[in-house]
Amino acid sequence: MHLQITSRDGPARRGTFTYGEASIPTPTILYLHSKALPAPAFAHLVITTESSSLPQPTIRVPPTLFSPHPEPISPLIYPKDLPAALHKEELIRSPQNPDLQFVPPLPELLDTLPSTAPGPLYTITSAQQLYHHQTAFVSFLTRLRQTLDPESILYLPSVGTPVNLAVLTYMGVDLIDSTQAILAARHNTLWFPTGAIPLHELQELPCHCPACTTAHHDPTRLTFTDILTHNTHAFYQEAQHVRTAIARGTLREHVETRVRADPQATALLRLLDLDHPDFLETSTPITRKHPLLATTHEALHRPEVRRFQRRILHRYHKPPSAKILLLLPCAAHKPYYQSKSHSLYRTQLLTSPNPWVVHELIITSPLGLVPRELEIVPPANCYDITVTGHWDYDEKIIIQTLLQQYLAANTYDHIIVHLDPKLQEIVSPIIPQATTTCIDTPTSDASLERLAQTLHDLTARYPKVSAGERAMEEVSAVAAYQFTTPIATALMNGSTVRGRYPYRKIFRGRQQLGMITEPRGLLSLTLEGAEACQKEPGYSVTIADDFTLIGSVFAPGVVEADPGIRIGDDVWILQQGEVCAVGIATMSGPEMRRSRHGEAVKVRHRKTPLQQQ
Amino acid sequence: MSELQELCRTFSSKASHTRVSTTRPVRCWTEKDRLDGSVVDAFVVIFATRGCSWAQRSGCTMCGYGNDSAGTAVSAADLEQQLQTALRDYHGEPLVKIFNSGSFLDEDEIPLPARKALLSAFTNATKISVESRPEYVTEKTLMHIQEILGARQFEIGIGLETANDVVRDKAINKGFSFAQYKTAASLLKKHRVSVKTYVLVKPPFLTEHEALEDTLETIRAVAPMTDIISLNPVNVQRHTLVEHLWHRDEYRPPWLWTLVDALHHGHQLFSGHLKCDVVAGGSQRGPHNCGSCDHDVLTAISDFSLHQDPSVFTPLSCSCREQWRDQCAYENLTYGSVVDWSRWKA
Repeated sequence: MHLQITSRDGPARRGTFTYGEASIPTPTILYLHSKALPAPAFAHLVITTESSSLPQPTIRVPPTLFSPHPEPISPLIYPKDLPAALHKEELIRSPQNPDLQFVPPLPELLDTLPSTAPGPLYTITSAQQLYHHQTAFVSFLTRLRQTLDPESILYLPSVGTPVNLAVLTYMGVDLIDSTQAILAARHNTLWFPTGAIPLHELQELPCHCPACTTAHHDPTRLTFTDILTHNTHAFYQEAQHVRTAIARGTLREHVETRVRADPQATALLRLLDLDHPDFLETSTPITRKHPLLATTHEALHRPEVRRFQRRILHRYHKPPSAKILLLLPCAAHKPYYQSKSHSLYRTQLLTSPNPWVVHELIITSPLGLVPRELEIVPPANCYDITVTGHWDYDEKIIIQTLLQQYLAANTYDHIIVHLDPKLQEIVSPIIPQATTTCIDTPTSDASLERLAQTLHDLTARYPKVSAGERAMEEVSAVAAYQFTTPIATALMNGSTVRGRYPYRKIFRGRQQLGMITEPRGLLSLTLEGAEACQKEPGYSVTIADDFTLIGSVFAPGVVEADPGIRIGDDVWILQQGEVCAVGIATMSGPEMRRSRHGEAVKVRHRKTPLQQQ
Repeated sequence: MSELQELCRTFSSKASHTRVSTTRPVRCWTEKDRLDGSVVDAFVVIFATRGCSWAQRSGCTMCGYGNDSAGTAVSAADLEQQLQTALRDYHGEPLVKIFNSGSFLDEDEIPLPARKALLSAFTNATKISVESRPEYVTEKTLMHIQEILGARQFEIGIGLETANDVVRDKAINKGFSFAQYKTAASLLKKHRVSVKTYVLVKPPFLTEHEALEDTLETIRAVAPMTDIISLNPVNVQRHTLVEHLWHRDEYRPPWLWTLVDALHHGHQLFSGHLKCDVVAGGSQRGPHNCGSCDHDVLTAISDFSLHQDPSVFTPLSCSCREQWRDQCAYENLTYGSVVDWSRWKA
C-alpha cells in the first residue's frame, strides 16, 4: 500500500496508489460491492465486506467488534457526537490495523493519530454527520490533511458525488465511494456533474453511458439497475475529469464550475478560501501553464490572487526613482504591454521628456493592483477575467483597500488617473488630489492627447531618470516579489542588468546571476546567483551530507527546506553549507520536509565535482 | 467507572419523574398473549418504584424506564395503594404481568411485604410473570416466592439483551454478563420457574446487519435455557444515549424487515414461544419501514407472536425492502455515516 504523487494542484494530488499488484490512479472512486449489487467491471478499486474473490482490486473490510465471527476485527468506532474521552479510551484500548486507520471526526482526537506512522489509508468515520456541519467539516479536513503524512491516502466515505468530488479533492481527499450512486438509484435519481435529477423529470437522457445508450435515451426504459449503471459511470467520469484537471493545473477552475450546482459544495469552497487561506496557499503552485480564469465570485479570493495581493503589499516597493504614479486600466491581452491599448499609453509615456520618473500601476480585478514591472509574473501574466465595464461591490472594495494600503507604503508626488469613468469613481475617494486624464475612454484621441500633455508638463519638472536606473529597479522588484526584499538586495547589490524589457539578465562583472525567463515570468538563478543569495533565508533546501546529487533532489534526501517555498519556485540546494545546485521546487517546503518519496526539486544547474573542490 | 458508564449516568440522571405518582401505578392494560399453547387475555400493570438499581448507578444506553420511576423510595404501603388501584381494572385475566421498570426481586424497589401482597392479589391468575436482573435471582428469593404462590405458574423475564458479552458491555452497558444470566436461568429451571428472555434488537453502535446477526446468535445461544424469547426492538426513549444519537442522525431504530427476518429465522432455531413486542412501531422513534407498509408488517409481527405461524410473513412485500437489503449489505462500509437508507436527499 503506497501512494506515489505525480502532480499537485493546491491540496489536491494526482497519483498512483499501489495496492497489492494493482496500480490505481487517484483520486478515484471506491465502488461498494455485494453479491446483490456487484461493483462495475471498470472499477479501479472495490470495497466489500464479503469474502468472495473479485477480478478488480479489492479492499476487504474486516467485521467489526460486534460481529459474531470476530477474527480479525475492526476496533469499535463510536459515532461522532459522543465525548472525545469515550473515543479516546477506545482508540487507545484497541490499536488499529496500520494499513487501515479509522479517524473519528473530532479535532480533539487528532493528536492521538500516529502522524509519523506510514498508515497509508485513513478512513473518516461519521463522514456524513460531519459533512452537514460545513464549518466543522472544512476545519477538520484541513487540520487532518496537515496532520497526516503527505503520502497517506485520505478516504472520505459515503458523501462523495460527481458534484462535490472536485471540491473534496481540492481539500486533499483521495478516495470517495459509490454510496450516493446507490442511494440515488434507489430513489430513482440520476447523477450528472451538474446535479442529481429524478427520473420522472427527464424527457430524454442527456448522457451517453452504456445504460442510457441502450435505452435509446428514453427515460421510461430505465430500470433500477440501469440507473445504477448510469450513476456508476457518472462517478467514474467525474473522477477522470478531476484527475485531468489536477494534471493540467486547472483544478481550481474545475472546482468553481462544479460547485455552482450545489450550495453546500459552494459553501465548502468559500469556507476554504475565507477561513483556511494558508492551507490552500501553501500547496498552490507559483507558476501555471493555463490561464487563471476569474469568472466567478469565488475567484476573487482564490489563493493565487490573495498571494499576489499580499506580496504587492508586503514584499514589493515602488521604484525609488519614480515620483509620478500613473494609474492605467488593464487589458485583455497578457502581458499587458503587448496589448494595443497599453502600447498606446506607452507611446505617450515614452515620448514624454522624462518617462522613467513615472511609474505605471494597472488597476484590475481580481488582482487589484499590478505594477507595470510585475505584469510578466504569474498570475498577472495569465489571468483572464470577464470584462463588462461593470464592477461589483466586492471588486470595488478590494481595489480601494489595496490602493489605500499601497499608497500608505509607497509615496509619489503626483498621481495621474487614466482610467475610464467607472474606475475613476472607484479610485477617486482614495486619491481626491489626483489629475484625471481620461475624458471618455482611455484610448480615445482626446484622452491620449490629454495624457500626453499632462505627462509632458509633469515629467519635465524632474531631473532626468535614466532607463538603466529604472531597469535595475524593475528587476529588483521582480526579485523582491519572488524572493523577498533581503534576497533581492543581496542579488542586485553590485550587479548590472542587461537585455530588453521584460526578459532581462543580471550580471555581476562577467558572471550571470540570473535571468527573467519567458514562460515562467520569474527569475531563474544561476549557481553564482544562488551563492549571492544563500545567506538570506527563504528559498534554500538543505540536503543530507551523504546524498549524492545526480539528477533531481528527492524528498528523502531533504534535511531542511524553507517553509515559504512553493511549487514552481526557484530554490538553491545547500550541502554542508555550500550551494551545490539550483532548480525549481516540485513540492512546497513543508511537503519536502515531511515526504518520504518523490521529486522535491528539479535541478537546473549543479556544481561539477571539480567546482565542489 | 468506564467512560461509557459515566456517559450513561449523565443521561439516566436526567430522567424526569414528575409525572410518576408513588400511590398510583404508572399504567395498566389488557392485551392478548400466549399461555400454555393458546391465546388468552393478559393483564399488565406497571408499578411505580424508586427505579432500577443499575439505572441509578449508570444505566443502559437505550433504557428510559427511569422516566417511569418515582426516583424516590416507594414504601410497601404506597405499593399496596397502587395495587388497589390496579385491581379495579383487573377482571380475572389468567395471565398477569407485574412490571416495575426495574427488578421485581430487588427489595429496594419492591419491599418484602409488598412483594407478598402483589403476588397474592391476583388470585384468579393461572400464571404470574415478573421481571428481574439476574443478580436478584437467588435461591432464597425463589423459595420465598414459592411459599407465596404455591403451585401456581410463575415466570421471570430477564433482560439478557444479547448473548454477546462485548455487545452487552460496549453497546448496551447492561452491567452483567452472559454467565450471570446462565446461572440465574438454571436456578429458575431448578425451581420450575419459567424463564422469559428479553433480546434487544439493534443496540446503538451496531449496524442493521450486525443487529440481525446478533439477535439470531442470541436466539441460538439461549434456546436451550429459556421458555420464551421476547424480542425487544429498540424504540427511542427520552433521556437516553440512543436518543442523543437519534437526534443527530447517528442511530435509526430497526427496520420492521429486520424483525420479520429475525422472527422467521429465529422460529427455526427455537422451539419455544418466540415473540416480539413492538413499541412505537411505524413511528420515527420506533421500529419502522417506509411508512406505507408498516401497518401490514406490524400486524404480521403481532400475529406471529400470538400464533407462531411464520406463513404470515409470506405475503409481505414492499419496494422499501430493497433499501433495507442495501443497508444490510453496505451500512458496515459507511462507518456510521449512513444509518438510514430509506432517507435520501441529493
